[in-house]
Amino acid sequence: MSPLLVAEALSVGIADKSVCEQLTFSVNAGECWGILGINGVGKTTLLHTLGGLRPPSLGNITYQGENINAIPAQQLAQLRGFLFQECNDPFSATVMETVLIGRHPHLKSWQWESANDIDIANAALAEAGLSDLAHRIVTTLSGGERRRLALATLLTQQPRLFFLDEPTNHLDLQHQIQMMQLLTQRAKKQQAALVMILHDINLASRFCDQVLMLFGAGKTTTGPTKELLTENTLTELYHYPVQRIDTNGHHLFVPSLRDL
Amino acid sequence: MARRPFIILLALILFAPGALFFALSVGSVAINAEDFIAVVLGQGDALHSQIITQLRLPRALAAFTCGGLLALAGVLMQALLRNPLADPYILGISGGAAVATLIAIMLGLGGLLLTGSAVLGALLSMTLVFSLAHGQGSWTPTRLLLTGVVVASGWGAIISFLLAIAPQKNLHSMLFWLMGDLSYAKTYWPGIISLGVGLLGSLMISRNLNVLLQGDLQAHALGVNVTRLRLSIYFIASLLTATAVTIAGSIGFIGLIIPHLLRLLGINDHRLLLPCAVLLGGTLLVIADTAARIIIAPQQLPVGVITAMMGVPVFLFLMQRSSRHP
Repeated sequence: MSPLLVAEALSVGIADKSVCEQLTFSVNAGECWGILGINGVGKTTLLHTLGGLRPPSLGNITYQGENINAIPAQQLAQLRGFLFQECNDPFSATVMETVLIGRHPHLKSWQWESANDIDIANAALAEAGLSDLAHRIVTTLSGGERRRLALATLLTQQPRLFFLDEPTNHLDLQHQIQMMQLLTQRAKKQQAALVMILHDINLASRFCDQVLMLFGAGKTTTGPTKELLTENTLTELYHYPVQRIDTNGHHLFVPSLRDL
Repeated sequence: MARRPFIILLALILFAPGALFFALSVGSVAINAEDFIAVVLGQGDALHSQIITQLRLPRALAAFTCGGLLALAGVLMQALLRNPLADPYILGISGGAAVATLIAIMLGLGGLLLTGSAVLGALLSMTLVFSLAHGQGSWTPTRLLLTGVVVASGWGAIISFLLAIAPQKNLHSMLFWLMGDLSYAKTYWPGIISLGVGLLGSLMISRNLNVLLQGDLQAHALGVNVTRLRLSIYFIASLLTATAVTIAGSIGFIGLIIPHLLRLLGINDHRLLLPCAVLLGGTLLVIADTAARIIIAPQQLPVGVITAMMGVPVFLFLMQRSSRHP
């Protein structure tokens, strides 16, 4: 079976800044990829490019062997979904109405949501721990609840490729782990794949199979998490000394404690 | 699905004919239900029949159409600009129409020529804002909003200038036009047709409007062609506003408060919000116009005065409420 996503000789730039040059990698079903890099290096731009929201400067992106330019917008939206960094709600809507928006690409233009669509939405709300809030107005939700609602909307969309921009934003410790577990289990179970931007190295080392590092000026590296996450590469990546702490056979990475 | 919005839609469908009946029966000659039915059956008093079919019916239908157009355009503008403070006039369409009409009044034109100038002014303003906002940059809600607001305030200055230099004899009709007035509305068919076409057109994109409110990126990710959708909304909303302005001048507040009233009643889904807005906007304007006819009869008030007097307190109440529930 062909990989879910293949990036081939991909070059991406913003204005005259290069995000990546000649980047080639492929994402297989069931995998979880982490994108790491400092602020402003172009992680979000790369994520949007991989998801087909903006064109690359050079190179090709294919989903299951098909060039994404050749996939119609509605079909593309059934195949891949996004969790964006921020969401804002200028108008009121209930949690249920908001989560049902995920069904949009699966419906014809005059079609209303069926009982099946509502079941899917309810299941997603339950997974995100929001069942009790289904009738609440979104503007009354807390930051973390709103974030979980965005996740539930994405689950309702049922894509095969999940593009997640800092998915654990606004979440407390418990919900961070729950969200990561939910997503990675879903990827394994449904042969989906995750591509996510993370700032927490330890979440990346615990949940990601592969990482993609953006060093700036177009320099990138990809590879298995275990091989790439080392004190040296992370220190180079973040322009700040990173220290590894070993505990119970696991590695934890923290900003260097040696100078304290 | 929640049942309440459908019940509200049904109630509004039943309420609209009630308001029309009210508008047809009250006035300097009161017509009760019995006489009214006689007229409908063609057996009524000749005077009653003439008052209803030639005076009150065209005016009530024009009021309903105009209210429906404004409320529909208001919902669309708010979605287009993702801004709850947007109304049909915010992008300067009524300002352009007003300037053209005031010049026409000063030149002593009347009748169809007045309507024609209003149409021309509205289209001119619409094209101006559209091309300026388009520029070389991207067509974002903020850029469009800023361009529209600036153009609208430019029209405002020209309006003040025209009022300052206008001869005394024209001033009264100019002010009436500016405040919004249905007493000259005689032909209602063009309005009804454009309301029907506009409602149908916007219903076709109504679920896309729900998605658009989640932001451009999310709409794009869910398969919506955001640029094309925005253009459709802009043109539908602008043409609806232009039609309303040519029927009755710039009647304030209907386009702003109707969408918010319905949202307060729990109608957020555009598939229901759009038809409900048409019905509620039409119904309220029929009632307001009837009030404008009878409050200081035999003199008439411009209906814009009544809608603003109803609109201001309601809007302040809404703002108060939303500041308590951020």
